[in-house]
Amino acid sequence: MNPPSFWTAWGLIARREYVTRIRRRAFLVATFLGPVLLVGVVAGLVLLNQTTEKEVKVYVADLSGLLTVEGPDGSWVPWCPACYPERALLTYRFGRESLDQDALKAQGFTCTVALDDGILQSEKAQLLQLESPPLSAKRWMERDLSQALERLKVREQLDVNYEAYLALKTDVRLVALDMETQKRQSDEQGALGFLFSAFMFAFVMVYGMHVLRGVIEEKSNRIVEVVLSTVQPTQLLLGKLAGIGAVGLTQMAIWSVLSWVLFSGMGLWLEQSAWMDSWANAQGLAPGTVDFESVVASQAELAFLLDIHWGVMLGCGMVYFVLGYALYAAFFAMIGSMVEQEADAQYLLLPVMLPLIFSYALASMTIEAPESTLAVASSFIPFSAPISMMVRLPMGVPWWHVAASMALLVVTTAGLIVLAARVYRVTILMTGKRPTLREVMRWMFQANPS
Amino acid sequence: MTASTPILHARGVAKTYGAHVALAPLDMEARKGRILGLLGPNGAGKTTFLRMVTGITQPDTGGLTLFGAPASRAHLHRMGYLPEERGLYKGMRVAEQVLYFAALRGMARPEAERALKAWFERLQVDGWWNREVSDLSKGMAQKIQFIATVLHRPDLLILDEPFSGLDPINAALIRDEMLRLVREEGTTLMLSTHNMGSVEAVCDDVLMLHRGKKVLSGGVNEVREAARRGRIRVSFAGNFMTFVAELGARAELLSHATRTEAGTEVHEVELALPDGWGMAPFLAWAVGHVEVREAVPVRLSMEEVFVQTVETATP
Repeated sequence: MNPPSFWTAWGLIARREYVTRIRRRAFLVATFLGPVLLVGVVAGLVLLNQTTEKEVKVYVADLSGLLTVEGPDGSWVPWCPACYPERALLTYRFGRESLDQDALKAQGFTCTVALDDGILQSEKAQLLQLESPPLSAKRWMERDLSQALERLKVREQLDVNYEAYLALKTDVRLVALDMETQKRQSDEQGALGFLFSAFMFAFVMVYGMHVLRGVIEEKSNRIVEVVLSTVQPTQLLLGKLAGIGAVGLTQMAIWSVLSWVLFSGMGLWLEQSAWMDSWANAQGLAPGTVDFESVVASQAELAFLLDIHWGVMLGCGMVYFVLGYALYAAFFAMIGSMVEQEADAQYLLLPVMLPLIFSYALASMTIEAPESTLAVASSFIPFSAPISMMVRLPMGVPWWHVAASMALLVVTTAGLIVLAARVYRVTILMTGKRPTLREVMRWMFQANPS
Repeated sequence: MTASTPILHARGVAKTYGAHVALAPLDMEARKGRILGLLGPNGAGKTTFLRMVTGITQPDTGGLTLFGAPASRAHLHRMGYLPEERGLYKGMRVAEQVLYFAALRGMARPEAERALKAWFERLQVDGWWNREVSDLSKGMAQKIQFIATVLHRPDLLILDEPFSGLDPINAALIRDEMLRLVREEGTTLMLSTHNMGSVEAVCDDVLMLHRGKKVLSGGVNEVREAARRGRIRVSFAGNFMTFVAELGARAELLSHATRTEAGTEVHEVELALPDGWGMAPFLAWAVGHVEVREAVPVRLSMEEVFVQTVETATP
C-alpha cells in the first residue's frame, strides 16, 4: 500500500466535497426545481390569464358628443370607427347618456366609460366596472379613446388631416452603436449586465459561505484532526475549494442548459398557441408566418437578447466565477478556521466582503457610465473584477481588458490562496483562543508557521 | 524488524507556542508489538506530542524516527490515529465515510471494502453500511471511528481515549480487538488515556508527561515497583508505642490501624523503608521487638502511581 500523491488526495477531498453537496435536497431543489418553478409560475400565469380572459363589453357614455354621430338608424355611432378596431374580447357600444347599473346589466355590459368635454383638458375619464376588465383590455380602451380624441383635436384645432399630422409628428429615438463593432447598444444590455453581476455576487457569496460552513463544521466536530493525520492542511483547503467550486459550476451549467431548454420550449409553446396568431394579427401580419425569434426581435426591450454572444458571456461568467469564488472562498476558509461557530465569523466576514459589496453597489453606476474611470478600474481590480466586468461585458469590452483583468485575478487569487493556507494550517487546530490580527499577519508571511 | 526495534523514537522533540512550553525536549521510544500508555494530567503535552508523531504539527527542535527512518509524511499511511476529540462527516453514509479515509491512506477500494465488511462483522455493526452518520449514537460513532482508524492495518496505532462514550460491553469489545491487533498482527499501540485501570490491564510500558515534561517512563511493572518506594504493610501483636520508639528514624511510618484478633490487639502499619533496608533486614529487626503476623510489600495501583507522580512533580 502506497500513500496517495498530493493531487490524488486533493482529488479525493474535492470529490467528497462535491458528491456530498450535489446530492443534498437543497441543492437539487435549487438547481432543478428553481428555474422550472420560476418558468412554470410565469407560464402558468400566462396560461391562466388566457383561459380566464372574459369578453369585455364597454358602454361609452359620450355625454358631450365628442366621439359619436347619429347613425342611419338613430343610434349613436363613433365618427371614427377605425379608432376602435375589431377585437375578439373587446366590443364597444356608444350613447349620449349615462346608464344606471340595472340598465348596464340588462344590456350585458361589463363596464362603462363616462366622458364629457372636460376630458380634452384633464385627459381623464371614469371607468365604472361591473366586472373588472383585464389589464390588457384597459390598455386597449385607453389607446382607442386616446386616438379618437387626438383625431378630434387635430381636426378641430389644426388645418391638416390626421394622416398629415401623423406624418409630421416626430419622435426622436437615440440608437447607440459601438464605434468599433457597429453593434447596437441599449440600456437593456446594461440591465442584463447588472443581472449577471447580481448572479455573480450571489454565487460567490453562496459558495463562499459553503466553504466557511464546511471549514467550521470540520473544526467544530473535530474531524479535522483525523483528516490532517492523513493529508496536509493545504491539500484539505485546496480540495475543499475545488469541490465546492465545482458544485457552483455544476449549478451554473445546469441553470444555463435548463434556461436554454425552457426558453426554447416556451418559444415552441408560444408558436403553437393562439397567442402567436393574435400577436401577428395585432402587428398586421398573416397568422402562421411569424416565429418566436421574430417576436423577440420586434420588441425594442428584448431585441438586444439576439445580439448578445451568449457563449462568450457564459464562458467569461464561469471563469470569473471560478476566480472570484476562489479568491473570496480562500478568505472565508481562513476566517472559518479561526472560529468555532458561524456566529463568531460574522464580524470577521464584513471587512472581507466589503470589496464584493462595493463592486455590486458600483454595478448600477457602471450601467450609467460603462466607460467611466471608476467602472473600468473596478473591472481590473481583482476584488471587484468578477462583478464589475460582468456588468460591462454585454455592453462590449475590448478583449484585452478581459484578458488583463483575468490575468490580474489569477495572480492575485493564487497569491491569496497561499497566504490564506498559511494561516489556515495554524488556526484550524487552534481551540479556545482566537488569533490576533498581528498573529494572523505573522503567519501569513512566515513560510513555516506550524 | 524485531520486537526490540523501536517503531517510534523521539530525540529531544520540543514544541513551544509563544511563551508557553507545550513540550520540553522529550526522549522516548515505542517498541514493536508492545502497548505504550501515554499518561498525564490535562495540559501535560500529550496531544502536542501525538500531533507531532502524526505529522499534524512539526517539532521546533529534535527529531522523530518512524519505522527506522526519519519521520516524514510518507509514513502517515502506516499509522492510524484516533484523536480524543473526534468526529464524523454528518452528510455521509457510514461505509462511504470509512472508505473515504481508507482511500486517503492509499488503500485500494476493493481491498478496503473487503476489510470493512470483516470489521463490520467483528464489531457487530452489520446493517450499518448505508446508515447516515447523523443517525448514529455516540457509542456507535465511536465504533465507526475505531474501524476507520484500523481499517488500513496500521503498523503504529495511536488511540487517544478510545473507550470514552462506550458502554462496558462495547468498551470490552474494542479492548479485545485492540489487544488482538497487537498480539496477533504485531501492531504497536500508543494508548493515551486517563483510565488507569485500562493501563494496568493492557499496557506493557508507560510514558507520563506533566506540564510538558517527562516525569515517568518504563515497563508498567517496573514503574509500579519503583513508585512503591520501599513501602510495606506489616501486621504485628505487641506494644505499638515500643515498636514506634524502637523504629525511630529507621523507617517512615505512613499509617497505623488497630484491630482485635481472638482477644489480642493486632496493629497494622504501613512503612516506607529506606534504600538499602529491604524486607529481609526489616523482618530480622522486627521479630526482635514484636510478634510479626504478616509483612507484605505494598503494590501501588497505576492510579496511585499517577497521583503520586503528579504530586511529586508539582512544586
